[in-house]
Amino acid sequence: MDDLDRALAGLRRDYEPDAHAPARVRVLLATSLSVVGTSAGAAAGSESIAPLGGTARLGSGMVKGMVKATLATLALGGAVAAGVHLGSAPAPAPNSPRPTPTVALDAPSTPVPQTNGLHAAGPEPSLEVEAARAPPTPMPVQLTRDAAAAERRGHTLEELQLLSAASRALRAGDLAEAERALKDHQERYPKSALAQERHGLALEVRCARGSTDAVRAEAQRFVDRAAGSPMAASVRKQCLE
Amino acid sequence: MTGSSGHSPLGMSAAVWSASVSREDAPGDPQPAPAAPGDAATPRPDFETVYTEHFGFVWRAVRGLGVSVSSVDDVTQEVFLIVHRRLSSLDDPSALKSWLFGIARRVTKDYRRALGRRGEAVELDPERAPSAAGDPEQAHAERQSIRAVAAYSERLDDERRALFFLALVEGMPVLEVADMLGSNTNTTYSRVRTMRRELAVLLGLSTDKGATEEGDSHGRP
Repeated sequence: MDDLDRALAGLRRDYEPDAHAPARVRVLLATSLSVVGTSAGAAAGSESIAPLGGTARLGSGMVKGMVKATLATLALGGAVAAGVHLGSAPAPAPNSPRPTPTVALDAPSTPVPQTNGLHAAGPEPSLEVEAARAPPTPMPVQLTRDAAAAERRGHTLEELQLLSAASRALRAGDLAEAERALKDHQERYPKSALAQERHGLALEVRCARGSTDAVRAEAQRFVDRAAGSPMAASVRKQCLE
Repeated sequence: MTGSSGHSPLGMSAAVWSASVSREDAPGDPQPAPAAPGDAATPRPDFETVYTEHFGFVWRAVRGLGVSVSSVDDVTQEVFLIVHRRLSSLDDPSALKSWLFGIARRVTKDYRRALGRRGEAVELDPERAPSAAGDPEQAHAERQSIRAVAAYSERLDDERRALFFLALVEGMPVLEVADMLGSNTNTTYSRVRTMRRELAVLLGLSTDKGATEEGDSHGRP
């Protein structure tokens, strides 16, 4: 390999996404989609405003899948990924027997029809698979369940946004902003199921500021506890290598 | 991969053409024709599969086509929003990568246009800085070379920049790149050789070494 090929290979490495990038982009997608699910009944289809000013139309059932997949990427190990229902989220409504189950992203096999710029009417996919499978329920109960699901989803997205913001700030070298986002998350969600993820990011921030023996020891304990997880790998790289 | 018959009258490959159309569809505009049955041997992947398997390529394309580190999340998201919306209209699943690149190219072009003439300085990912554990002098020299190559790509027009990314950064075979870009194969080979020659000069290398090679047996530049 000559110098030119080495430089080109180096550029390709530079263009590679970091370990958290897929999760961050999922959060952005889920956030855009959440505008739909929580807006005024969002009767049909869905619409969200894309960051560059474009208007995107997507199936809102994707929101849950996005959140699920994001958690699977962001969370440590399988523990959190196995439980979408975050500890910090409000308790489910009495009629919601189980937390949100695992759901794969819905395939966009059906284009969203539109009429005069408005989306054609159609039932919005339920955010709860259990609700979708359940027999018809009286409207007030359904509304309660939908409200609870929407609230949980809002909390989930907010948590993911905060952690994603911290991750992005850390990567950009803005350690103060990363700490602010993590502190914000700590204050709002002290008992979050993503506390371990928060801890990992906090360790990375501290190591980026200049790791001490104490921080390295804490990082080592973290890596030992969360061995095999993406976050452990990230902490190991930042603090122990 | 699309063959020559898959090119639009403007010389764009079917996938790129499709992507361009998809970005321009304003609400109320007619939607593209329903998806053709497609190649039975290549079933259309679902969105999650596309996201999982091609996230890296889309991300690199967005970066390689000139989006800064600070904006790459947003632009990549924009690409996947369009992918989600348009995946069902993908005619040829075997041309998925080409289709994705077409979308990334279009979105990136819009992004750069929105930036206006001020553009952005060449920006390498700060996380990819050379490790202090290595030879600092060598790492610095390597970083300078990478920066010079990145700066070179910044000066290319849109079409050549796409070619630079696919052929030189991604290392895709020239024939495949030509097909993706809807370009003449000989022209593509010639442009790749010219780029390598110019880059070799830029890096102070002998143009006899690597810069004028025709490419290997796989058609790689």
